[in-house]
Amino acid sequence: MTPPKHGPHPSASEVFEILVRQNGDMLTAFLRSLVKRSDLVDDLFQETMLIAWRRLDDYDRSRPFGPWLRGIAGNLVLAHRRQSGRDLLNCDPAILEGLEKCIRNFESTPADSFRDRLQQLRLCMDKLPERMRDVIDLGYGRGMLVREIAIAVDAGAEAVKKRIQRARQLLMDCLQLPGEAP
Amino acid sequence: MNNSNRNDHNVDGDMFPETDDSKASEEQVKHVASQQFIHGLLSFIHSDDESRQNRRYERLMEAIDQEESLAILKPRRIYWRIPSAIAAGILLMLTVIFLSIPTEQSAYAMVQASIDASESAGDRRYEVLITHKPGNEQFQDLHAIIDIRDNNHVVIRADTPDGGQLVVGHNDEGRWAIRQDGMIERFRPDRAWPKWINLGDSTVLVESVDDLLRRLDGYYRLTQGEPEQLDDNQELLYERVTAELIKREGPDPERIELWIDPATHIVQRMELRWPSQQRNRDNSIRQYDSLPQGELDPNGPPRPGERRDPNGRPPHMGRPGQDRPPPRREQHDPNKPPRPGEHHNLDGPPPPHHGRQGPDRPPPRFIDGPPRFGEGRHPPPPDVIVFNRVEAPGFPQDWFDPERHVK
Repeated sequence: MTPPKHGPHPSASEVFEILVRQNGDMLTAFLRSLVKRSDLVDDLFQETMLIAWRRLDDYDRSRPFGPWLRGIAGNLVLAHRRQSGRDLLNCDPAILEGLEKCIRNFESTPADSFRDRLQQLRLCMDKLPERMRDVIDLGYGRGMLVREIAIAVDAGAEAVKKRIQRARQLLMDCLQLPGEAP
Repeated sequence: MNNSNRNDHNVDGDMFPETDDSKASEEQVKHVASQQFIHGLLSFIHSDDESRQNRRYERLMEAIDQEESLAILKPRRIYWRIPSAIAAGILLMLTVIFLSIPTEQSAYAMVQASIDASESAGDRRYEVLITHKPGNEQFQDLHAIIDIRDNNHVVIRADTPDGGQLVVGHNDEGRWAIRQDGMIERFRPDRAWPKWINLGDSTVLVESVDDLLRRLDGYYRLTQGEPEQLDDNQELLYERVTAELIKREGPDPERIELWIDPATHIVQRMELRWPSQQRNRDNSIRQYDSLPQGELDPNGPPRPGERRDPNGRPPHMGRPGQDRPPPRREQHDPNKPPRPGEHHNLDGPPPPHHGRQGPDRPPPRFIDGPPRFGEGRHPPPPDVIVFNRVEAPGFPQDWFDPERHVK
Protein backbone atom coordinates (compact mmCIF):
# COMPACT_ATOMS: atom_id res chain seq x y z
CA MET A 1 0.00 0.00 0.00
CA THR A 2 1.39 3.37 -0.91
CA PRO A 3 2.19 5.36 2.22
CA PRO A 4 0.29 8.62 2.49
CA LYS A 5 2.14 11.59 1.10
CA HIS A 6 2.51 14.30 3.67
CA GLY A 7 1.47 17.18 1.48
CA PRO A 8 -0.82 20.00 2.52
CA HIS A 9 -3.89 18.31 0.98
CA PRO A 10 -3.94 14.54 1.33
CA SER A 11 -6.03 12.83 -1.31
CA ALA A 12 -9.32 11.13 -0.49
CA SER A 13 -7.72 7.71 -0.81
CA GLU A 14 -4.91 8.70 1.55
CA VAL A 15 -7.41 9.89 4.16
CA PHE A 16 -9.42 6.74 3.64
CA GLU A 17 -6.35 4.56 4.09
CA ILE A 18 -5.68 6.21 7.45
CA LEU A 19 -9.28 5.55 8.51
CA VAL A 20 -9.02 1.95 7.30
CA ARG A 21 -5.87 1.33 9.30
CA GLN A 22 -7.36 2.95 12.40
CA ASN A 23 -10.53 0.87 12.24
CA GLY A 24 -9.55 -2.28 10.36
CA ASP A 25 -8.63 -4.37 13.40
CA MET A 26 -11.91 -3.71 15.17
CA LEU A 27 -13.90 -4.39 12.01
CA THR A 28 -12.11 -7.71 11.61
CA ALA A 29 -12.84 -8.69 15.20
CA PHE A 30 -16.47 -7.67 14.67
CA LEU A 31 -16.69 -9.90 11.59
CA ARG A 32 -15.00 -12.74 13.43
CA SER A 33 -17.72 -12.51 16.08
CA LEU A 34 -20.31 -13.18 13.38
CA VAL A 35 -18.63 -15.32 10.73
CA LYS A 36 -17.17 -18.80 11.00
CA ARG A 37 -14.86 -19.00 8.00
CA SER A 38 -11.70 -16.93 7.61
CA ASP A 39 -12.09 -16.54 3.86
CA LEU A 40 -15.59 -15.17 4.36
CA VAL A 41 -14.17 -12.71 6.90
CA ASP A 42 -11.68 -11.59 4.24
CA ASP A 43 -14.41 -11.17 1.62
CA LEU A 44 -16.77 -9.27 3.92
CA PHE A 45 -13.93 -7.06 5.14
CA GLN A 46 -13.05 -6.17 1.55
CA GLU A 47 -16.65 -5.62 0.55
CA THR A 48 -17.38 -3.46 3.59
CA MET A 49 -14.39 -1.25 2.98
CA LEU A 50 -15.12 -0.89 -0.74
CA ILE A 51 -18.70 0.13 -0.04
CA ALA A 52 -17.44 2.61 2.54
CA TRP A 53 -15.02 4.01 -0.05
CA ARG A 54 -17.75 4.39 -2.66
CA ARG A 55 -20.09 6.03 -0.15
CA LEU A 56 -17.52 8.16 1.59
CA ASP A 57 -19.49 11.27 0.68
CA ASP A 58 -22.40 9.91 2.74
CA TYR A 59 -20.30 9.54 5.86
CA ASP A 60 -21.08 12.14 8.52
CA ARG A 61 -17.60 13.26 9.53
CA SER A 62 -18.83 14.57 12.86
CA ARG A 63 -19.43 10.97 13.92
CA PRO A 64 -16.96 8.16 14.55
CA PHE A 65 -16.01 6.09 11.53
CA GLY A 66 -16.01 2.68 13.24
CA PRO A 67 -19.75 2.35 13.94
CA TRP A 68 -20.51 3.46 10.39
CA LEU A 69 -18.24 0.73 9.04
CA ARG A 70 -19.78 -1.87 11.32
CA GLY A 71 -23.24 -0.79 10.16
CA ILE A 72 -22.22 -1.54 6.58
CA ALA A 73 -20.63 -4.83 7.64
CA GLY A 74 -23.71 -5.83 9.64
CA ASN A 75 -25.92 -5.24 6.59
CA LEU A 76 -23.62 -7.36 4.45
CA VAL A 77 -23.72 -10.16 7.03
CA LEU A 78 -27.52 -10.04 7.06
CA ALA A 79 -27.56 -10.09 3.25
CA HIS A 80 -25.31 -13.14 3.31
CA ARG A 81 -27.66 -14.80 5.79
CA ARG A 82 -30.59 -14.16 3.45
CA GLN A 83 -28.68 -15.63 0.52
CA SER A 84 -27.17 -18.74 2.05
CA GLY A 85 -27.47 -18.62 5.81
CA ARG A 86 -24.33 -20.73 6.12
CA ASP A 87 -21.07 -20.11 7.91
CA LEU A 88 -22.54 -17.52 10.24
CA LEU A 89 -22.97 -17.36 13.98
CA ASN A 90 -26.01 -15.75 15.54
CA CYS A 91 -26.55 -12.50 13.66
CA ASP A 92 -30.06 -11.53 14.70
CA PRO A 93 -30.49 -7.75 14.68
CA ALA A 94 -30.73 -7.76 18.49
CA ILE A 95 -27.38 -9.56 18.69
CA LEU A 96 -25.82 -7.09 16.25
CA GLU A 97 -27.04 -4.30 18.49
CA GLY A 98 -25.66 -6.05 21.56
CA LEU A 99 -22.32 -6.56 19.84
CA GLU A 100 -22.17 -2.90 18.90
CA LYS A 101 -22.67 -1.97 22.57
CA CYS A 102 -19.87 -4.32 23.62
CA ILE A 103 -17.53 -2.86 21.02
CA ARG A 104 -18.31 0.74 21.94
CA ASN A 105 -17.66 -0.05 25.59
CA PHE A 106 -14.43 -1.79 24.63
CA GLU A 107 -13.35 1.17 22.50
CA SER A 108 -14.02 3.58 25.34
CA THR A 109 -11.38 1.93 27.53
CA PRO A 110 -8.20 4.00 27.75
CA ALA A 111 -5.61 2.80 25.23
CA ASP A 112 -3.91 4.10 22.12
CA SER A 113 -5.11 1.42 19.75
CA PHE A 114 -7.24 -1.66 19.41
CA ARG A 115 -4.20 -3.90 19.71
CA ASP A 116 -3.23 -2.13 22.94
CA ARG A 117 -6.70 -2.86 24.27
CA LEU A 118 -6.25 -6.49 23.42
CA GLN A 119 -3.34 -6.55 25.84
CA GLN A 120 -5.87 -6.25 28.63
CA LEU A 121 -7.63 -9.33 27.30
CA ARG A 122 -4.32 -11.21 27.22
CA LEU A 123 -3.76 -10.34 30.87
CA CYS A 124 -7.23 -11.63 31.63
CA MET A 125 -6.45 -14.86 29.75
CA ASP A 126 -3.43 -15.36 31.97
CA LYS A 127 -5.70 -15.10 35.00
CA LEU A 128 -8.08 -17.82 33.85
CA PRO A 129 -8.11 -21.07 35.82
CA GLU A 130 -5.78 -23.54 34.14
CA ARG A 131 -8.46 -25.90 32.85
CA MET A 132 -10.26 -23.01 31.20
CA ARG A 133 -7.09 -21.52 29.79
CA ASP A 134 -6.28 -24.93 28.33
CA VAL A 135 -9.52 -25.23 26.38
CA ILE A 136 -9.16 -21.66 25.11
CA ASP A 137 -5.59 -22.35 23.98
CA LEU A 138 -6.57 -25.58 22.29
CA GLY A 139 -9.67 -24.16 20.64
CA TYR A 140 -8.43 -20.79 19.49
CA GLY A 141 -4.67 -21.18 19.52
CA ARG A 142 -4.53 -24.54 17.81
CA GLY A 143 -7.86 -24.52 16.03
CA MET A 144 -8.98 -27.81 17.52
CA LEU A 145 -12.54 -29.01 17.27
CA VAL A 146 -14.58 -29.40 20.44
CA ARG A 147 -14.43 -33.18 20.15
CA GLU A 148 -10.65 -33.01 19.73
CA ILE A 149 -10.34 -30.80 22.79
CA ALA A 150 -12.54 -33.22 24.70
CA ILE A 151 -10.09 -36.03 23.96
CA ALA A 152 -7.11 -33.83 24.77
CA VAL A 153 -8.43 -32.77 28.16
CA ASP A 154 -10.17 -36.06 28.88
CA ALA A 155 -13.64 -34.59 29.24
CA GLY A 156 -16.97 -34.82 27.46
CA ALA A 157 -17.79 -32.55 24.52
CA GLU A 158 -20.61 -30.87 26.44
CA ALA A 159 -18.30 -30.22 29.37
CA VAL A 160 -15.79 -28.63 27.03
CA LYS A 161 -18.47 -26.38 25.53
CA LYS A 162 -19.55 -25.29 29.00
CA ARG A 163 -15.94 -24.68 29.96
CA ILE A 164 -15.36 -22.48 26.92
CA GLN A 165 -18.55 -20.53 27.54
CA ARG A 166 -17.60 -20.04 31.17
CA ALA A 167 -14.11 -18.93 30.17
CA ARG A 168 -15.55 -16.35 27.78
CA GLN A 169 -17.82 -15.07 30.52
CA LEU A 170 -14.90 -14.75 32.92
CA LEU A 171 -12.95 -12.86 30.27
CA MET A 172 -15.86 -10.51 29.71
CA ASP A 173 -16.13 -9.91 33.45
CA CYS A 174 -12.40 -9.40 33.75
CA LEU A 175 -12.37 -6.72 31.05
CA GLN A 176 -14.73 -4.65 33.24
CA LEU A 177 -16.02 -2.68 30.31
CA PRO A 178 -17.71 0.61 31.16
CA GLY A 179 -21.45 0.09 31.17
CA GLU A 180 -21.09 -3.62 31.90
CA ALA A 181 -21.67 -5.05 35.33
CA PRO A 182 -18.43 -6.69 36.57
CA MET B 1 3.49 -22.52 8.48
CA ASN B 2 0.57 -20.84 10.04
CA ASN B 3 -2.42 -22.72 11.24
CA SER B 4 -5.00 -20.30 9.99
CA ASN B 5 -6.85 -23.01 8.15
CA ARG B 6 -7.42 -24.75 11.45
CA ASN B 7 -8.43 -21.51 13.06
CA ASP B 8 -11.81 -21.03 11.51
CA HIS B 9 -13.27 -21.01 14.98
CA ASN B 10 -13.91 -24.66 15.39
CA VAL B 11 -15.02 -24.01 18.92
CA ASP B 12 -18.10 -22.07 17.87
CA GLY B 13 -20.30 -24.90 16.57
CA ASP B 14 -23.72 -24.65 18.12
CA MET B 15 -22.51 -22.63 21.07
CA PHE B 16 -24.30 -19.45 20.05
CA PRO B 17 -27.96 -20.42 19.85
CA GLU B 18 -30.33 -18.42 17.70
CA THR B 19 -32.37 -15.87 19.58
CA ASP B 20 -35.91 -15.09 18.59
CA ASP B 21 -36.14 -11.31 18.85
CA SER B 22 -39.71 -11.43 20.03
CA LYS B 23 -39.04 -13.91 22.85
CA ALA B 24 -35.42 -13.44 23.95
CA SER B 25 -35.01 -11.49 27.13
CA GLU B 26 -32.62 -8.59 27.32
CA GLU B 27 -30.36 -10.72 29.51
CA GLN B 28 -30.29 -13.56 26.98
CA VAL B 29 -29.40 -11.19 24.16
CA LYS B 30 -26.72 -9.58 26.29
CA HIS B 31 -25.28 -12.97 27.20
CA VAL B 32 -25.10 -14.22 23.61
CA ALA B 33 -23.72 -10.90 22.36
CA SER B 34 -21.00 -10.84 25.00
CA GLN B 35 -20.08 -14.47 24.23
CA GLN B 36 -19.74 -13.67 20.53
CA PHE B 37 -17.87 -10.47 21.30
CA ILE B 38 -15.21 -12.33 23.30
CA HIS B 39 -15.21 -15.06 20.66
CA GLY B 40 -14.46 -12.40 18.03
CA LEU B 41 -11.59 -10.94 20.08
CA LEU B 42 -10.08 -14.36 20.79
CA SER B 43 -10.34 -15.35 17.15
CA PHE B 44 -8.73 -12.08 16.13
CA ILE B 45 -5.86 -12.51 18.58
CA HIS B 46 -5.11 -16.00 17.34
CA SER B 47 -5.75 -15.58 13.63
CA ASP B 48 -5.13 -12.00 12.55
CA ASP B 49 -1.55 -10.98 13.07
CA GLU B 50 -0.29 -7.74 11.59
CA SER B 51 0.94 -9.37 8.39
CA ARG B 52 -2.47 -10.86 7.68
CA GLN B 53 -4.13 -7.53 8.39
CA ASN B 54 -1.62 -5.72 6.17
CA ARG B 55 -2.47 -8.15 3.43
CA ARG B 56 -6.12 -7.18 3.73
CA TYR B 57 -5.16 -3.49 3.50
CA GLU B 58 -2.96 -4.14 0.47
CA ARG B 59 -5.73 -6.02 -1.28
CA LEU B 60 -8.22 -3.28 -0.47
CA MET B 61 -6.06 -0.37 -1.62
CA GLU B 62 -5.21 -2.26 -4.78
CA ALA B 63 -8.94 -2.60 -5.52
CA ILE B 64 -9.46 1.08 -4.77
CA ASP B 65 -6.60 2.03 -7.07
CA GLN B 66 -8.21 -0.02 -9.82
CA GLU B 67 -11.58 1.62 -9.22
CA GLU B 68 -9.98 5.03 -9.35
CA SER B 69 -8.20 4.27 -12.61
CA LEU B 70 -11.43 2.96 -14.14
CA ALA B 71 -13.28 6.06 -12.92
CA ILE B 72 -11.06 8.15 -15.19
CA LEU B 73 -12.82 6.52 -18.14
CA LYS B 74 -16.29 7.46 -16.84
CA PRO B 75 -16.99 10.97 -18.23
CA ARG B 76 -19.01 9.67 -21.15
CA ARG B 77 -20.44 13.03 -22.14
CA ILE B 78 -17.32 13.89 -24.10
CA TYR B 79 -16.96 10.55 -25.81
CA TRP B 80 -18.85 11.63 -28.90
CA ARG B 81 -16.29 14.35 -29.52
CA ILE B 82 -13.37 11.95 -29.54
CA PRO B 83 -12.04 11.51 -33.05
CA SER B 84 -12.70 8.06 -34.37
CA ALA B 85 -9.00 7.17 -34.56
CA ILE B 86 -8.53 7.84 -30.83
CA ALA B 87 -11.73 5.95 -30.08
CA ALA B 88 -10.42 3.02 -32.06
CA GLY B 89 -7.18 3.21 -30.12
CA ILE B 90 -9.03 3.16 -26.83
CA LEU B 91 -11.13 0.25 -28.05
CA LEU B 92 -7.99 -1.62 -29.00
CA MET B 93 -6.44 -0.92 -25.59
CA LEU B 94 -9.58 -2.12 -23.80
CA THR B 95 -9.57 -5.25 -25.97
CA VAL B 96 -5.99 -5.93 -24.92
CA ILE B 97 -6.93 -5.38 -21.27
CA PHE B 98 -9.86 -7.77 -21.51
CA LEU B 99 -7.79 -10.33 -23.38
CA SER B 100 -5.22 -10.21 -20.60
CA ILE B 101 -7.76 -10.84 -17.86
CA PRO B 102 -8.28 -14.57 -18.61
CA THR B 103 -4.49 -15.07 -18.48
CA GLU B 104 -4.39 -13.45 -15.07
CA GLN B 105 -7.42 -15.40 -13.89
CA SER B 106 -5.84 -18.62 -15.15
CA ALA B 107 -2.69 -17.86 -13.21
CA TYR B 108 -4.69 -17.28 -10.03
CA ALA B 109 -6.61 -20.50 -10.67
CA MET B 110 -3.35 -22.40 -11.15
CA VAL B 111 -1.95 -21.10 -7.89
CA GLN B 112 -5.20 -21.81 -6.07
CA ALA B 113 -5.23 -25.34 -7.49
CA SER B 114 -1.67 -25.76 -6.30
CA ILE B 115 -2.57 -24.56 -2.81
CA ASP B 116 -5.51 -26.97 -2.73
CA ALA B 117 -3.38 -29.84 -4.00
CA SER B 118 -0.60 -29.20 -1.52
CA GLU B 119 -3.04 -29.67 1.36
CA SER B 120 -3.47 -33.33 0.47
CA ALA B 121 -0.21 -34.07 -1.33
CA GLY B 122 1.40 -35.87 1.58
CA ASP B 123 5.12 -35.98 2.29
CA ARG B 124 7.22 -33.69 0.11
CA ARG B 125 10.79 -32.51 0.18
CA TYR B 126 12.30 -29.41 -1.38
CA GLU B 127 15.98 -28.69 -1.74
CA VAL B 128 16.69 -25.01 -1.41
CA LEU B 129 19.64 -23.03 -2.71
CA ILE B 130 20.15 -19.48 -1.46
CA THR B 131 22.55 -17.81 -3.79
CA HIS B 132 24.04 -14.55 -5.01
CA LYS B 133 24.92 -13.19 -8.38
CA PRO B 134 28.38 -13.78 -9.81
CA GLY B 135 30.68 -11.18 -8.33
CA ASN B 136 29.07 -11.43 -4.94
CA GLU B 137 31.29 -14.29 -3.88
CA GLN B 138 31.86 -12.65 -0.53
CA PHE B 139 28.32 -13.78 0.25
CA GLN B 140 28.16 -17.49 0.78
CA ASP B 141 25.70 -19.70 -1.07
CA LEU B 142 23.64 -21.66 1.41
CA HIS B 143 21.60 -24.82 1.25
CA ALA B 144 18.46 -25.85 3.05
CA ILE B 145 15.96 -28.66 2.99
CA ILE B 146 12.26 -28.30 3.61
CA ASP B 147 10.22 -31.35 4.56
CA ILE B 148 6.45 -30.95 4.42
CA ARG B 149 3.70 -33.33 5.37
CA ASP B 150 0.84 -30.81 5.58
CA ASN B 151 0.18 -27.28 6.85
CA ASN B 152 0.95 -28.27 10.42
CA HIS B 153 3.93 -30.51 9.82
CA VAL B 154 6.98 -28.80 8.41
CA VAL B 155 10.71 -28.94 9.11
CA ILE B 156 13.23 -26.52 7.62
CA ARG B 157 16.92 -27.30 8.04
CA ALA B 158 19.31 -24.68 6.72
CA ASP B 159 23.08 -24.45 6.72
CA THR B 160 24.33 -21.23 8.27
CA PRO B 161 27.46 -19.33 7.27
CA ASP B 162 29.10 -20.14 10.60
CA GLY B 163 29.05 -23.83 9.72
CA GLY B 164 26.08 -24.63 11.89
CA GLN B 165 22.57 -25.53 11.03
CA LEU B 166 19.33 -23.77 11.67
CA VAL B 167 16.33 -25.99 12.31
CA VAL B 168 12.79 -24.67 12.58
CA GLY B 169 9.52 -26.47 12.26
CA HIS B 170 5.89 -26.91 13.04
CA ASN B 171 4.14 -29.87 14.58
CA ASP B 172 0.86 -30.58 16.35
CA GLU B 173 1.93 -28.41 19.26
CA GLY B 174 2.78 -25.37 17.17
CA ARG B 175 5.88 -23.68 15.90
CA TRP B 176 9.33 -24.41 17.22
CA ALA B 177 12.99 -23.76 16.58
CA ILE B 178 16.22 -25.29 17.82
CA ARG B 179 18.25 -22.50 19.41
CA GLN B 180 21.99 -22.18 19.03
CA ASP B 181 22.45 -23.62 22.50
CA GLY B 182 20.51 -26.71 21.43
CA MET B 183 17.41 -25.86 23.43
CA ILE B 184 13.95 -26.05 21.91
CA GLU B 185 12.13 -22.78 21.60
CA ARG B 186 8.38 -22.76 21.03
CA PHE B 187 6.69 -19.70 19.60
CA ARG B 188 3.54 -18.30 21.10
CA PRO B 189 0.59 -19.30 18.95
CA ASP B 190 -0.78 -15.76 18.94
CA ARG B 191 2.43 -14.31 17.54
CA ALA B 192 3.65 -14.47 13.99
CA TRP B 193 6.55 -16.82 13.45
CA PRO B 194 9.57 -14.72 12.62
CA LYS B 195 10.29 -15.43 8.99
CA TRP B 196 13.52 -13.54 8.49
CA ILE B 197 16.89 -14.56 9.83
CA ASN B 198 19.97 -12.37 9.97
CA LEU B 199 22.87 -14.59 8.96
CA GLY B 200 25.44 -11.84 9.24
CA ASP B 201 26.16 -11.53 5.52
CA SER B 202 22.60 -11.66 4.37
CA THR B 203 19.07 -11.70 5.69
CA VAL B 204 17.21 -14.76 4.52
CA LEU B 205 13.53 -15.53 4.27
CA VAL B 206 12.70 -18.85 5.91
CA GLU B 207 9.29 -20.01 4.82
CA SER B 208 7.77 -23.14 3.38
CA VAL B 209 6.72 -23.38 -0.25
CA ASP B 210 3.08 -23.77 0.76
CA ASP B 211 3.09 -20.61 2.91
CA LEU B 212 4.75 -18.67 0.13
CA LEU B 213 2.05 -19.83 -2.27
CA ARG B 214 -0.66 -18.63 0.08
CA ARG B 215 0.94 -15.20 0.26
CA LEU B 216 0.86 -14.68 -3.49
CA ASP B 217 -2.79 -13.71 -3.55
CA GLY B 218 -2.95 -10.06 -2.59
CA TYR B 219 0.70 -9.11 -2.65
CA TYR B 220 1.52 -10.22 -6.18
CA ARG B 221 0.17 -9.84 -9.68
CA LEU B 222 0.12 -13.25 -11.31
CA THR B 223 0.54 -13.98 -14.98
CA GLN B 224 0.51 -17.27 -16.80
CA GLY B 225 3.43 -18.16 -19.05
CA GLU B 226 4.04 -20.73 -21.71
CA PRO B 227 4.53 -24.27 -20.36
CA GLU B 228 8.20 -25.16 -19.92
CA GLN B 229 10.37 -28.18 -19.39
CA LEU B 230 12.61 -28.67 -16.41
CA ASP B 231 15.94 -30.38 -16.59
CA ASP B 232 14.89 -33.18 -14.28
CA ASN B 233 12.03 -34.26 -16.51
CA GLN B 234 12.50 -33.54 -20.20
CA GLU B 235 9.19 -35.08 -21.16
CA LEU B 236 6.94 -33.05 -18.91
CA LEU B 237 5.82 -29.51 -19.67
CA TYR B 238 5.28 -27.66 -16.43
CA GLU B 239 2.70 -24.91 -16.05
CA ARG B 240 4.37 -21.55 -15.60
CA VAL B 241 3.27 -18.66 -13.42
CA THR B 242 5.15 -15.45 -12.77
CA ALA B 243 4.25 -13.41 -9.71
CA GLU B 244 5.37 -9.79 -9.54
CA LEU B 245 5.19 -7.76 -6.37
CA ILE B 246 2.44 -5.17 -6.72
CA LYS B 247 3.94 -2.59 -4.41
CA ARG B 248 7.69 -2.75 -4.69
CA GLU B 249 8.29 -1.83 -1.09
CA GLY B 250 9.31 -3.87 1.86
CA PRO B 251 11.47 -6.95 2.02
CA ASP B 252 9.44 -9.40 -0.08
CA PRO B 253 10.95 -10.85 -3.25
CA GLU B 254 10.23 -8.73 -6.29
CA ARG B 255 9.47 -11.68 -8.51
CA ILE B 256 8.48 -15.28 -7.92
CA GLU B 257 8.65 -17.83 -10.71
CA LEU B 258 6.70 -21.06 -10.45
CA TRP B 259 6.86 -24.34 -12.33
CA ILE B 260 3.77 -26.38 -11.49
CA ASP B 261 3.22 -30.04 -12.30
CA PRO B 262 0.16 -30.05 -14.62
CA ALA B 263 -1.01 -33.45 -13.39
CA THR B 264 -0.65 -33.07 -9.64
CA HIS B 265 -0.71 -29.22 -9.42
CA ILE B 266 2.19 -29.42 -6.99
CA VAL B 267 4.94 -26.83 -7.28
CA GLN B 268 8.02 -28.48 -8.75
CA ARG B 269 10.25 -25.44 -8.68
CA MET B 270 9.98 -21.97 -7.20
CA GLU B 271 12.41 -19.09 -7.59
CA LEU B 272 12.34 -16.00 -5.40
CA ARG B 273 14.21 -13.02 -6.80
CA TRP B 274 15.16 -9.74 -5.19
CA PRO B 275 16.22 -6.67 -7.15
CA SER B 276 19.91 -5.89 -7.14
CA GLN B 277 19.24 -2.28 -6.15
CA GLN B 278 17.73 -3.51 -2.89
CA ARG B 279 21.17 -4.78 -2.03
CA ASN B 280 22.85 -1.59 -3.15
CA ARG B 281 20.66 0.63 -0.99
CA ASP B 282 22.09 -0.70 2.20
CA ASN B 283 25.53 -0.96 3.66
CA SER B 284 26.49 -3.98 1.56
CA ILE B 285 27.75 -1.53 -1.06
CA ARG B 286 30.59 -0.69 1.28
CA GLN B 287 31.79 -4.24 0.97
CA TYR B 288 31.98 -3.84 -2.79
CA ASP B 289 33.98 -0.67 -2.25
CA SER B 290 36.65 -2.63 -0.44
CA LEU B 291 37.14 -5.05 -3.31
CA PRO B 292 40.03 -4.66 -5.72
CA GLN B 293 39.49 -2.52 -8.79
CA GLY B 294 37.84 -4.56 -11.50
CA GLU B 295 35.47 -6.27 -9.10
CA LEU B 296 33.41 -3.13 -8.61
CA ASP B 297 31.18 -4.30 -11.41
CA PRO B 298 28.14 -5.66 -9.57
CA ASN B 299 28.57 -8.85 -11.56
CA GLY B 300 32.29 -8.99 -10.96
CA PRO B 301 34.85 -10.16 -13.47
CA PRO B 302 33.94 -13.30 -15.38
CA ARG B 303 35.52 -16.42 -14.03
CA PRO B 304 37.59 -18.63 -16.30
CA GLY B 305 35.27 -20.48 -18.60
CA GLU B 306 32.21 -18.74 -17.16
CA ARG B 307 29.28 -18.20 -19.51
CA ARG B 308 27.67 -15.02 -18.24
CA ASP B 309 23.93 -14.64 -18.34
CA PRO B 310 22.95 -11.27 -19.82
CA ASN B 311 20.37 -10.91 -17.04
CA GLY B 312 22.98 -11.39 -14.39
CA ARG B 313 21.69 -14.78 -13.30
CA PRO B 314 24.20 -17.19 -11.93
CA PRO B 315 24.81 -20.01 -14.40
CA HIS B 316 23.06 -22.66 -12.33
CA MET B 317 20.02 -20.56 -11.51
CA GLY B 318 18.60 -19.89 -14.95
CA ARG B 319 15.43 -21.00 -16.56
CA PRO B 320 15.15 -24.61 -17.57
CA GLY B 321 16.29 -25.26 -21.06
CA GLN B 322 18.77 -22.40 -20.88
CA ASP B 323 20.77 -23.24 -17.82
CA ARG B 324 21.04 -25.94 -15.27
CA PRO B 325 19.04 -26.28 -12.07
CA PRO B 326 20.86 -25.69 -8.83
CA PRO B 327 23.28 -28.49 -8.14
CA ARG B 328 22.47 -31.00 -5.49
CA ARG B 329 25.05 -31.46 -2.83
CA GLU B 330 26.98 -34.56 -3.45
CA GLN B 331 27.15 -35.59 0.17
CA HIS B 332 23.42 -35.67 0.56
CA ASP B 333 21.24 -38.39 -0.85
CA PRO B 334 17.69 -37.05 -0.91
CA ASN B 335 16.28 -40.53 -1.34
CA LYS B 336 17.90 -41.71 1.81
CA PRO B 337 15.57 -41.64 4.83
CA PRO B 338 16.83 -39.44 7.61
CA ARG B 339 18.54 -41.33 10.42
CA PRO B 340 18.69 -40.40 14.07
CA GLY B 341 21.84 -38.42 14.60
CA GLU B 342 22.01 -37.38 10.97
CA HIS B 343 19.52 -34.62 11.32
CA HIS B 344 21.34 -31.85 13.11
CA ASN B 345 24.22 -31.70 10.69
CA LEU B 346 22.67 -32.55 7.41
CA ASP B 347 25.68 -32.66 5.17
CA GLY B 348 28.45 -31.63 7.47
CA PRO B 349 29.82 -28.13 7.70
CA PRO B 350 30.30 -26.19 4.49
CA PRO B 351 33.72 -26.31 2.88
CA PRO B 352 36.26 -24.02 4.52
CA HIS B 353 36.43 -21.62 1.59
CA HIS B 354 32.76 -20.81 1.97
CA GLY B 355 32.15 -17.54 3.76
CA ARG B 356 33.61 -16.19 6.92
CA GLN B 357 33.84 -18.63 9.74
CA GLY B 358 35.21 -18.65 13.20
CA PRO B 359 34.27 -17.71 16.71
CA ASP B 360 34.01 -13.99 15.88
CA ARG B 361 31.12 -14.57 13.55
CA PRO B 362 27.74 -13.64 15.08
CA PRO B 363 25.24 -16.52 15.23
CA PRO B 364 22.10 -16.38 13.09
CA ARG B 365 19.34 -14.36 14.69
CA PHE B 366 15.60 -14.17 14.08
CA ILE B 367 14.41 -10.67 13.29
CA ASP B 368 11.35 -9.32 15.04
CA GLY B 369 9.21 -8.04 12.19
CA PRO B 370 10.18 -7.41 8.61
CA PRO B 371 13.81 -6.51 7.91
CA ARG B 372 14.75 -2.97 6.95
CA PHE B 373 17.10 -3.27 4.05
CA GLY B 374 16.77 0.30 2.84
CA GLU B 375 17.84 1.78 6.15
CA GLY B 376 20.86 -0.48 6.36
CA ARG B 377 19.51 -1.98 9.56
CA HIS B 378 19.88 -5.51 8.29
CA PRO B 379 22.19 -7.23 5.82
CA PRO B 380 20.75 -7.45 2.31
CA PRO B 381 18.58 -10.28 1.05
CA PRO B 382 20.10 -12.91 -1.22
CA ASP B 383 19.65 -12.43 -4.94
CA VAL B 384 17.83 -15.68 -5.54
CA ILE B 385 16.32 -18.48 -3.50
CA VAL B 386 15.42 -21.59 -5.49
CA PHE B 387 13.21 -24.38 -4.23
CA ASN B 388 13.41 -27.64 -6.16
CA ARG B 389 11.17 -30.55 -5.35
CA VAL B 390 13.00 -33.83 -4.96
CA GLU B 391 11.79 -37.28 -4.11
CA ALA B 392 10.89 -37.44 -0.44
CA PRO B 393 11.97 -40.34 1.70
CA GLY B 394 9.41 -41.79 4.06
CA PHE B 395 9.54 -39.42 7.01
CA PRO B 396 9.45 -41.11 10.41
CA GLN B 397 6.37 -40.39 12.46
CA ASP B 398 8.23 -38.09 14.84
CA TRP B 399 10.20 -36.30 12.12
CA PHE B 400 8.31 -33.06 12.66
CA ASP B 401 8.86 -32.97 16.41
CA PRO B 402 11.68 -30.73 17.63
CA GLU B 403 13.08 -33.39 19.95
CA ARG B 404 14.01 -35.40 16.90
CA HIS B 405 16.32 -32.61 15.75
CA VAL B 406 18.06 -31.73 18.99
CA LYS B 407 21.69 -32.73 18.94
